[in-house]
Amino acid sequence: MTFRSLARLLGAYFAILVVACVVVRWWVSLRVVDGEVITSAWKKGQITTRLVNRKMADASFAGIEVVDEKVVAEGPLVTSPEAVFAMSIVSSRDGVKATLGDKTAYVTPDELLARQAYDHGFTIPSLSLSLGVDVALIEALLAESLETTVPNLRAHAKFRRIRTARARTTPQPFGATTPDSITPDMLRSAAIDAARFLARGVAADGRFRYLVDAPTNRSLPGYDWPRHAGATFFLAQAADVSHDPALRGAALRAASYLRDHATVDCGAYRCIGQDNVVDVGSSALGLIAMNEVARTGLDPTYRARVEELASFLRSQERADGEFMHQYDRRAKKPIDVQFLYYSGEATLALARAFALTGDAADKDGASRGLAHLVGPAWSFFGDRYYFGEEHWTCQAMSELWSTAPDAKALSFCERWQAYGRNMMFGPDDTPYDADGAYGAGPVITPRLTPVASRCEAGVATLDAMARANSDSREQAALASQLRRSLALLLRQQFRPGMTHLFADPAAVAGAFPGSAVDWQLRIDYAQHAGSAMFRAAESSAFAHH
Amino acid sequence: MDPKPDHDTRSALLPRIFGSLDLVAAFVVGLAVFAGLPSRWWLVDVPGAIVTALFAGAGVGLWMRAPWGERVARAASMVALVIGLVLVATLAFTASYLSGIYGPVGRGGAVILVLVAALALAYLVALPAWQLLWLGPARHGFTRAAPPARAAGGSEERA
Repeated sequence: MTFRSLARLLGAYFAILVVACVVVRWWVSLRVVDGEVITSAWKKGQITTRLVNRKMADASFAGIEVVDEKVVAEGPLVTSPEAVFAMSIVSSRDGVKATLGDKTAYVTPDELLARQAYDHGFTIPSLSLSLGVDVALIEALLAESLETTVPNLRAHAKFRRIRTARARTTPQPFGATTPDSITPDMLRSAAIDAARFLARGVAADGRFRYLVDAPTNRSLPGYDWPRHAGATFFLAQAADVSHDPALRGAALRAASYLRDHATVDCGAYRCIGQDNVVDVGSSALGLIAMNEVARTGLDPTYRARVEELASFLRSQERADGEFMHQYDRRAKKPIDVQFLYYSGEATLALARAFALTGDAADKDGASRGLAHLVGPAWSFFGDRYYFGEEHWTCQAMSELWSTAPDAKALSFCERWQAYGRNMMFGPDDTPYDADGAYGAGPVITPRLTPVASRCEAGVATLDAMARANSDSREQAALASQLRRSLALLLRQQFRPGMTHLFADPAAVAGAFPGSAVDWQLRIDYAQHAGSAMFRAAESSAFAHH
Repeated sequence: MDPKPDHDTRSALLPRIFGSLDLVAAFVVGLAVFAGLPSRWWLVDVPGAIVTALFAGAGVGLWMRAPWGERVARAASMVALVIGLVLVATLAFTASYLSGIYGPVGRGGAVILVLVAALALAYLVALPAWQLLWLGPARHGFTRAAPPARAAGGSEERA
């Protein structure tokens, strides 16, 4: 092949490619329209009546909420292959319109949210990632509305992507919260509402409703001791701040469940768990929870439990500061394996134990743990350019700052936050409300829990930076980053949320969803967001900026 | 630029340079497809395996200056070029489509797409195109192994 012929070939290829890409982008883009008004009557999260371009009378006296969704834009929809269909619907914004003969049916964003269809299109198991919309559900809903079969719908219907705007729906008082409008009272109030959501789910025996499907208010299976402990810690925090007897009672019930049902012998020590092999994370977060119950005076007798658990954690620490993350109760010996989070949790637990008991062994254990976490545990080529989601280390660093300051740990935490700042979505980066969230592109709806857990660590880092007199510009940048994240959390919290889409709005009021479209409510979602808000509300460094 | 180096250099060095590049390309493509991608999909795995095998064969053949080396290198270049152009077009269409659907793709998404496209362009477009130029029109046998031409010190008509 000659240079000239190859150059011609490639030149023609790239010219055609550029033109084709411009055409594709233009063709799939939405066109603004003054479209139909789809009016739906909702009762207990279910549609009871639907009208298009016709007015519906108010029926709130019968527990019915009437919501208008106006079609404001339309575009073509590629329906095959199914994966392309799934990825062609923007989560929480887009719905589908299908016309078959002289009939037209709509599946609106509200319907897709109520049925939790977004981000359930297809799964990449190796990444634990679900993308796109549930196409089978959309087709079933449209076929039902058009009184036909799914195969007939696929074969003969004309599909369009629609974007709607809600009107006549429940006001969201915090739905427009901006970073600059955040106040400590606003944060405290939101965190207490989150705690009240958790408290309503604490049974008489102290067990949480671990996972709740918000649209149906059904409890879903699963349980986890570290998350039980984390939620207990948060309830104790909230009870202390609010002096609410209901929160106090729930915190004590949850703590007693941990103490009476999950505390077992680990050789010569006491630990948290139920199986023969227990993990360090449960004991670490169990200690943090019991420490908070004792520290706040809810029940000072928990101090003895804190000392027991601290002894166990110290016994699991190696000479180099790393923790052995499991203990074999049958063989009565530690198992020297490591998992994500546990070392940071154990380090923070020992730091908190020291603050309560004053035992120098706890401080020493925490300091060695911290030095290991920010040293050998995070030392590899490129460690300046990559950080994980681990959010306990920087809380431990801040906890230890007044008695055992570690400048290297502070520097590590500053770099981690700066890295997060660069990875953060801006207001115009995605079609979602995602300013202050983290992600790599628009097709995955950003998760809120990583935002919240980074905020917990971020406020802790900011506090330590202030005490260390770090660069004020860096402090201001971190504070601004935290404000954006906290504003996002405040906007997304169910206060009250889309009440017409919930079977029991009062049951989920105050909760934090997994994302803007994932409305399964796990106890740690409220815990991380609420703890971050309490930290920020009490932080003078945060208030200063 | 028409890569027409003098005959001796081409005879002694270029086959090994291209052979080395082919081996690197085989490694990179194999690594990207079979270690980098998190799950298996025949539509990607089969072309990935073919390109990896052809580049590896071309690399070995050119290094050994085997008679079949040039033919395998030509086949590898053509297959890789076609797959590379299809891949670049697919990535470009995907980016255009997603941009049309979602609006801005975000800095992270844009960087990922550009990096993947850059990898594809380097190994699956630039390298095979350059190798095809070097190989010139199809002919039988391994040209650089032709002793009479060497002895005469004349230039080969390659393109």
